[in-house]
Amino acid sequence: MPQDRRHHKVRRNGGGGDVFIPVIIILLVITILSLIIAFAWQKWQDIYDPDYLYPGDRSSSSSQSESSSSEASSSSEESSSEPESSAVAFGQPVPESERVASAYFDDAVFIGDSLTTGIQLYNILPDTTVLASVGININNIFTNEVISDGNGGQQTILDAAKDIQPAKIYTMLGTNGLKGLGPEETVRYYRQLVQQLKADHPDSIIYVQSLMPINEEIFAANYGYELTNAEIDECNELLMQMAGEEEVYFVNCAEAIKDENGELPAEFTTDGLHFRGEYYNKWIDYLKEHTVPEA
Amino acid sequence: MKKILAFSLAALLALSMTACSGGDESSSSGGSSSSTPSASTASVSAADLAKQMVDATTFNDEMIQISEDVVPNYYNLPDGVDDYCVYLCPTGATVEEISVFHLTDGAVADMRTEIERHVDARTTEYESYRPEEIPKLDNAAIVESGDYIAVIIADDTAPASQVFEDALA
Repeated sequence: MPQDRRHHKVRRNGGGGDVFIPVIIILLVITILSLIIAFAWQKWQDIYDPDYLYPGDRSSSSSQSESSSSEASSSSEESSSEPESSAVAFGQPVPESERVASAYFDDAVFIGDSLTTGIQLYNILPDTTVLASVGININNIFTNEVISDGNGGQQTILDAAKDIQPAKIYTMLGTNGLKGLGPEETVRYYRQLVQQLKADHPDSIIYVQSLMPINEEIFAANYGYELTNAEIDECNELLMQMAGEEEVYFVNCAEAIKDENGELPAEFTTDGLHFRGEYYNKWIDYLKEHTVPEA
Repeated sequence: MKKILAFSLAALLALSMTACSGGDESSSSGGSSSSTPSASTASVSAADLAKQMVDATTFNDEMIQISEDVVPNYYNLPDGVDDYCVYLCPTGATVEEISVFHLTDGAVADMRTEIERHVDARTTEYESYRPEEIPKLDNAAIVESGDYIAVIIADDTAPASQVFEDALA
């Protein structure tokens, strides 16, 4: 009997070895395939960078971990975030370029009014800097102290920007006072703003963003006066000219927001002027696809 | 030998699964975040309470819980705040808001002062921009219970006030 047991034991081991090697090979193949898929998935995420899904789809979580994960992903995106387009001429809209990742905006500052505050509130670009305030306008941005200085006081947007020294500056202002000032006066103030920014930030890339379209009917019902997209378009033409003369870049992001009638679609706005999260994605998408090479 | 191989394979598989999940986490967890600092002594989470108050209120535009990092742009939080949650209208179209703060003993009065400053600042922002929003600021409800204080800015502040009182009764 002891001899039989030994005999069976030897046979059992021998049969297991026959199965073990193919299993190992299959597992290795599966492992290598999964690594390839994981690598491809990460590269795809870097390229398409869907990190600003509509906020309504987002879950609540600690912003500390979110922040650190964003930083981690930002650094991995950085290598693919620089555009490779050729030199861009002043005085015309920045043409479509290779799409950059969100990390492109990590060293940018967005200056603007309530529309721009939405970038921060929707957390569209968590690592960018937003210097914006509801109701700020092109003629009071120089004096209105609307940004916390961190010590219980307030400072102007321009003073706050001086402390940051961003690599890129995006501006969008003018709609709030357009009816009162008119396109020419609006652009005259805008030129002062651009000149001040150039003086304060000589090494920064300055992007003047077009004013966004409105929904005329809803706007009139909410604000008690009429403003037309024709007036906004006229102002944008003048802004583009001014940007060319000042040798800064003009980004025509309005074309990302306009519907087939040249308006802000009614279903994405409450008051005809401001739009919801989905349209912030369109806006930032457009900016990602319209950049100029960094020096 | 087989044990070593099996262990190595298991480690390799674990590594590959880690690689699969190592992408940009902000794609799934960005946006509004729980504004709950660690070591809070709050018995009721400010985020939970604020959410209930938001759900009980009718707003004229969408509301979003803003990131903890953004809150200092709206409030100079005094010492003693250990849990807070701020809901705002992200489009800027309305001034509507619900914010809840939990404080350690004695700091509620400081927070009330800061909330009043905040309401004044919002009034300054909106009075020339969207004056029709000003009545909401004039009628802003600041409610207190124990170590909690909240501000409600909406057309009708009563439902959220009731939720606040019931939750902390």
